[in-house]
Amino acid sequence: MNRTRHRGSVFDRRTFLGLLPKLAASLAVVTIPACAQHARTGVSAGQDFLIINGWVLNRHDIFPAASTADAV
Amino acid sequence: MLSDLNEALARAAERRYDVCVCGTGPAGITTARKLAEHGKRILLLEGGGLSYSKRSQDLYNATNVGLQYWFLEEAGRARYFGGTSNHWAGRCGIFDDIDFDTRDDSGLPGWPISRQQVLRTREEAQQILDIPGANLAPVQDPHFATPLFARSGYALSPPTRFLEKYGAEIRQSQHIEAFYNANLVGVGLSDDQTRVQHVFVRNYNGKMTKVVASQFVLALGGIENARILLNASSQVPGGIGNHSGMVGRCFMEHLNVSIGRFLVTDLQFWRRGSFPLAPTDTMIRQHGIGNGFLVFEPDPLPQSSGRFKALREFLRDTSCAVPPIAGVARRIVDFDCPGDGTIGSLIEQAPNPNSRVSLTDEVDAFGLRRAQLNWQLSDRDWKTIRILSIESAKEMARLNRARVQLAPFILDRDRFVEVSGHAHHMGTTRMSADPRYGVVDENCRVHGVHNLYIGGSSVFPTGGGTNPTLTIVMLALRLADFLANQK
Repeated sequence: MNRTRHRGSVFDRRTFLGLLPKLAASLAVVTIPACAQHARTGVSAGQDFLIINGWVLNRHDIFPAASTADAV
Repeated sequence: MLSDLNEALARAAERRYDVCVCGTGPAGITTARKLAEHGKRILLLEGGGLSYSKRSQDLYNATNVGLQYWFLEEAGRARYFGGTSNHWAGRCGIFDDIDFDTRDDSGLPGWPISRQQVLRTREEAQQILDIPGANLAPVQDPHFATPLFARSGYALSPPTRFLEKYGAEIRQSQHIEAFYNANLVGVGLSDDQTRVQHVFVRNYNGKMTKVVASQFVLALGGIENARILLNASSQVPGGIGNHSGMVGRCFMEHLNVSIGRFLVTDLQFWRRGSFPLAPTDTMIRQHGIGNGFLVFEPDPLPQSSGRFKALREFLRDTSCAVPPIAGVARRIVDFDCPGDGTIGSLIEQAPNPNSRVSLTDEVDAFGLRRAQLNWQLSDRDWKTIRILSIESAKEMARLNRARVQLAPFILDRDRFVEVSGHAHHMGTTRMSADPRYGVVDENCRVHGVHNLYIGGSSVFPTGGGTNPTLTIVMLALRLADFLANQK
């Protein structure tokens, strides 16, 4: 592995906030239904996770109400 | 003493040596130095010179008929004094307990020796590689509490270049007679084929000599060890040590797969930098997969490489500010945006007899048939790649450290998996107590040949989930101790 790659400090709050729209945009471009991906992967994401457009997400990332219901 | 065989051919044949060591990479030099410590008279042979030359390197030219592979020639093997230590990156780790267990999915036995037997020389090996005292065991990270993964343990050697570090010692040694430009071209067996009597060595002036020793060690690299044994077929059809047809089989790499990218969701966690993640024994057993590690590397400004570097950088600079456009562009050419984290991997490949080194009919400048590689992966390897990727992504989400976007081929079995290696050539003369399943025994001795031994990662029955050099050096020390006690 390349040990000499450039590293810097970018993790200030502004950068982080800038990343959130990217995640939201990626979620918006849902091209493959999660269930179809599970079938083709042969590996279930499990009850608590979803795979959408390649993103592996907590179910409550998308459905906060569901997580509340689960808690109840 | 260190001499050029182009100028000192006669001297190599003058003496009878206790041990002739062929190859000057980490395995060969370590074996020779340790035997010298024991007072043995050593002949150390290197086919290349003291620095790179095309003439020497061309002898490694080989054919690839399997998966695409970049490390058959210069990128993966250096044919001059110091061997591949001349361009290794320096990452060192130790095998886990589970790496020494027999996992029956490959149908082949695992290591016939225990982890403790290999690690007995660990302290000395770490000194040799300039990582003294480093703790290399995986640790449970309190900030990443999961029974499925641990923080992978490793240390970075400077990296040690064996010619630079040990060249002066070899030059001054009273016990080691080293020759460069000394190409091993043949092995002469006794009439009953149970002992090596001499080996034939050629320089680049067309002259050949015969050298005699009590013991012989081949430490030429994971592909070349097999090639030399297969080429030595004048007395034994099929090659020396190949009674069961195992020479060259079970070629293993560590799989290098770009499994995806990630976005950080816990700034505090990632301020520590990259996070190397290794599966625990529980995880490996639960899923029946191989070992390995994934390196999550937060990357402020991802660098592009390869043939489409300019295009990737152009797209990165122009489209990343508008994520939907970047998303569309990434369907055409994959590239990373600033702030994306990258995920590197080193994943164990299971031993697979169909993944093999054999010979072509084309010969090199010395008349030896060239190597042919047919690198193949098994269903277990694809499963290991996918399970490690998906389970690590789930744990990142569950613990809210990051969200991972997996590469399309991880999620879709029908897609081509872009897999490469790490220039780790292993398994082609695998160790097995049973000659049916290997080439060398637990002391690295070729089955059926009493004084022929193999050094290097070609003896690994399984590749484990970490870089091989430290294990290669530990096994070389173990071999030298064993040889020192032989009459």
